[in-house]
Amino acid sequence: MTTLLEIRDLRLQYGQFKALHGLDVEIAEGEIVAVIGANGAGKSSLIKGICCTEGQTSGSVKLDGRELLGLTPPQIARAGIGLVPEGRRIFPSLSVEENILLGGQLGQDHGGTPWTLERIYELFPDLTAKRHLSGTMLSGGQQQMIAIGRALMTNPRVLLCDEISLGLAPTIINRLYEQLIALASEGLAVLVVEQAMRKALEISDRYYCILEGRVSLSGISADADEDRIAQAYFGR
Amino acid sequence: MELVNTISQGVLLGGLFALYALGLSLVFGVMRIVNIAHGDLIVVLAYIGLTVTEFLGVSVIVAAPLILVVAGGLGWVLQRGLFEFVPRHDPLIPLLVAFGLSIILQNLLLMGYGADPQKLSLGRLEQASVEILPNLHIGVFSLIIFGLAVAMIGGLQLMIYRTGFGRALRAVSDNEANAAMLGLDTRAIFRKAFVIVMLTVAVAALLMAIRGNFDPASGSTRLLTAFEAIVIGGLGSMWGTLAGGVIIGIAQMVGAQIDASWQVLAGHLVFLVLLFLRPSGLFPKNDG
Repeated sequence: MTTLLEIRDLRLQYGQFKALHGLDVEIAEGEIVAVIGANGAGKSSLIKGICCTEGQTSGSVKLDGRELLGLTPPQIARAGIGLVPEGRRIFPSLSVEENILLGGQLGQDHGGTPWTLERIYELFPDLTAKRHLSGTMLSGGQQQMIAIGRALMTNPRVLLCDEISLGLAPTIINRLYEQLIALASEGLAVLVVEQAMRKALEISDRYYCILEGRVSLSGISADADEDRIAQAYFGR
Repeated sequence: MELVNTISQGVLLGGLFALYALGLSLVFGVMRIVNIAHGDLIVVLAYIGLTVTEFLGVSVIVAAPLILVVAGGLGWVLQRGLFEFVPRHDPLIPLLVAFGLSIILQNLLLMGYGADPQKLSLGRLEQASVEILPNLHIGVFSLIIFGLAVAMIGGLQLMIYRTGFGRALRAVSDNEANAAMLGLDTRAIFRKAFVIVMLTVAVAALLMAIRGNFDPASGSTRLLTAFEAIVIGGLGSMWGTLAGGVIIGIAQMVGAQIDASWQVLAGHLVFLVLLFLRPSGLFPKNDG
């Protein structure tokens, strides 16, 4: 598989606080990569570093050879990075459909079949009947579907998912991850940031465990050794 | 018939008040800036209208497209050169900046044009009227003002609720930080929004300047009327703003019937009463 997103020596700091101390992460086309770690380990900072949304970054984040560091969030979205943010961030004054359509205004076509509203509704049929309701009136799981749909509408090459299982019932989490696996099988690269370690390892091809802003362990998810991961996860 | 005539005059006057308020409402709704200089911007554009028509020697109608272009450019410059640099985490900061801008604009106008009242002319159209009922005459120009107000509110509603730009505008208005994180170009959205605001200001300014006298200090009364129309209608509701303008217009006309000195005061009194009865306005929602 060809590497699509290549992160080298990524450092991120907020003022004097250093959140990332030089991360190396790679994702290939059609691959699901899980980033696991405890609270405050730097998982969400990795997403912020890739999207250049917060803090000062250094190092290199290349998408298909193109450097992303230094670009603005709108440029990064157009380059092919789709973001499913932590907390879903649904806009209350926009309907379900408008929230999804907003994604279409952010990205651009990168070849392949472009995402349309119809395709999103096929992927998440639950949303069809509620398309005209305010996005925030839906359940947590359905809001997560909106957030994923909105990110897909940017026609991303890499989908970044930040804690999508947070606060959701296990059946909903399973459904969402099934959809992500299906998307990856079509060639989409998916980076999943998760606190739920077992689930993340179950659905991913490879994993990176982060501890205090550094990669403490990485490998093939199917070969993951729980004891070693627990040590890398908690640092003891 | 006298009362019907008074009320119909008030309704039509309300259209002008709603036009004063449109831009103010947009700036507050999208950028969360209470633009104290809004009234002065109306007056500045009235003077620009005066200068352009006198310099080119043409009527307001002919000069209007050029004035709109100037207004749009001024909006872009104000946002790009001033408001973009103003921190908005504390609402007091943009409020003070707008207050400073208001003082600067008033003094620049005073230096450039003096304190004498000015007026734009629309010729015979200003005096023309139509009889819509026996003994009930309505000014054609007043009808044009009201028609423009309705058309502009309808147009803005369409833009906000039926276009991609409007969608982005509402997303930014909901949560600017989230919109930026997802990749919306919030700076470009704000610049476009301010251009649109200034276009509404230009229309309001020209109609105000044709309808009556204006001078460099006229901005504060326009600002006050605009605020009252927005608050009566309910924040975020454009049709509510029109309703607010109409209520103030009717109150002013009825007040003027009682005594000429009561005209402006009656508008303010009705505003205070409605503020007491319905503090969140008549149509307090975000969908207009």
